Amino acid sequence: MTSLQIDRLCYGRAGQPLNQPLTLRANPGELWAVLGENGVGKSTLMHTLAGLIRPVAGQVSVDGVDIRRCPRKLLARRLGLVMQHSDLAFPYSVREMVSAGRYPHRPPWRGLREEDRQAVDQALEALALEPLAQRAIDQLSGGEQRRVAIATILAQSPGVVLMDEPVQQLDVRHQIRLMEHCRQLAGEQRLVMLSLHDVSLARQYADRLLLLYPDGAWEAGITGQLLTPSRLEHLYGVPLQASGQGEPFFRLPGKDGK
Amino acid sequence: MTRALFAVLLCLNLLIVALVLGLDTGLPEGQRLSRALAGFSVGGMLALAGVLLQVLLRNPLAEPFVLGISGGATVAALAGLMLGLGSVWITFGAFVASLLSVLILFVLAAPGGQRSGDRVLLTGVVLAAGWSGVIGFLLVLGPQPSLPELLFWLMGDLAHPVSPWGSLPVLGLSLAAAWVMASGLDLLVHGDQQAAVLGVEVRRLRLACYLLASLLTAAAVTVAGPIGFVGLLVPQLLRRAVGARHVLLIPAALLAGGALLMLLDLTARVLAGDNLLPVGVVTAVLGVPAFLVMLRQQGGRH
Repeated sequence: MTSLQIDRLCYGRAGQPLNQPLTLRANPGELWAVLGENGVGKSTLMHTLAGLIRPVAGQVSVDGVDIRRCPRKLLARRLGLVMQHSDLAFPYSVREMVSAGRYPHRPPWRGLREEDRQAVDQALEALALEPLAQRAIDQLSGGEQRRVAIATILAQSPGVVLMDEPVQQLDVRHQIRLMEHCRQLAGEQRLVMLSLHDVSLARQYADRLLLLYPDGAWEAGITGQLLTPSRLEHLYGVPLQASGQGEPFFRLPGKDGK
Repeated sequence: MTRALFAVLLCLNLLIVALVLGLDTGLPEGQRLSRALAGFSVGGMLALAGVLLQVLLRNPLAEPFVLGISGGATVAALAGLMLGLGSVWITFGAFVASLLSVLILFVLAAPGGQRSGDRVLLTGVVLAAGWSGVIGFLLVLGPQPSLPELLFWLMGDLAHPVSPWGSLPVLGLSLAAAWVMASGLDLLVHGDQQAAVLGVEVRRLRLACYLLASLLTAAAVTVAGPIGFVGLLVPQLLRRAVGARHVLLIPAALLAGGALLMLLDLTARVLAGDNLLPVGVVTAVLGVPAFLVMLRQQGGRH
């Protein structure tokens, strides 16, 4: 049961803020999607929330503790991030990669304990990675590597799960599996926050949205209330509308003569 | 599988030590034990330094000799030898020079700790060439009390102007320190940010890794001069046998590096007889083709 408090946060690289100060509180059990066009700062925001980039201004707290004052290991038990890329120069097996998620939970001089092994097994099973468990990570496809990264955060099992464009490189079946997984995590009273490019997926699965507009403005709230055509046009600079009442899909209007 | 490998490595070490002690290769009996010890500790230290540098620079081809770190340590140690300093001071000077070499590599080739590709290798090779120029200067300009012995040491030789016994505590402490860091190193190789997210205090671990690799290189160079490719071959081959996890890789690399260097030194003396072939020449003859093969394999993967 971990909550995330963002207080007058300005994020950016090299001291240049990308946004107007952002204040919001995200609670356990919520599934947030962060939407915005390329370059608007979704990754920068995710990295800032995970304490990898110093905020330009403001602060981020997890359970009331400023993340910049929290020792890394303690933070990693509460908050995890799936990044877009990871570096795979050495031939670790899939199981060894996923076991890395247990690092914050055990003393460094000890091997995996029984509970660690169980967590790793469950994570492998959840992403259907058991058949690949002994394979070397650098021999997997891009989509398989993403599933390994997601399994790693499941093994890490933090209260706040951040994912930076997790569906990238996944086929439709695995996209849907992943999103259902995120729902399940939220159902376990974790707080899940994903950056997405797919408005349809966001509408279908997320219960909260954070919209990052190109001019640095932002809006946060309940999905059903925020997904209006005018907001989407502001967000992406092109007109989008729902393909039908209650339909999850979005398209450019007028192409089929309506 | 793993246990079997460690058992084999231990037996191999004992067997080679027995051969060094027992075979008459023109070495007086009183010097044989310290010769074996020099081979074992230098080989182990170089292999361990290789493992650490590969994590630090995130490049499986990193190694103290190829990257010019041994070269820097050699310059400092040579100056120390010429001035007649004690082995502790020589090691200290070599340590400082190793630190400086790695620092230059970071500043020029791998800023911000991101993954370093071939650029770091290129920088290291140029750095090594620079250091060997400085060595030439020292040899020509410096005092020349025992030049032939120094020349052998410069090619990488275990006939030690410096006693190898001092390197044992360095080896033991480094093994302990590296082993404690092992599970963090497993995360660090995937990138600083990835490691930080999983709970590693990245700066502290990188610093420890950097200091330890430099110390190991310096201590190895002090005893035996610059010996190449042990730090490259041993970790590379072992990753195929025990996997990439450092808990196993670190002790295995130490044992295998020690066995390899003792064995190569013994082979050199058996083959060359009275001609006294420095072991650094043998590792170069074996290591250069192996390095080129690995470079090609690595190039194919990116």
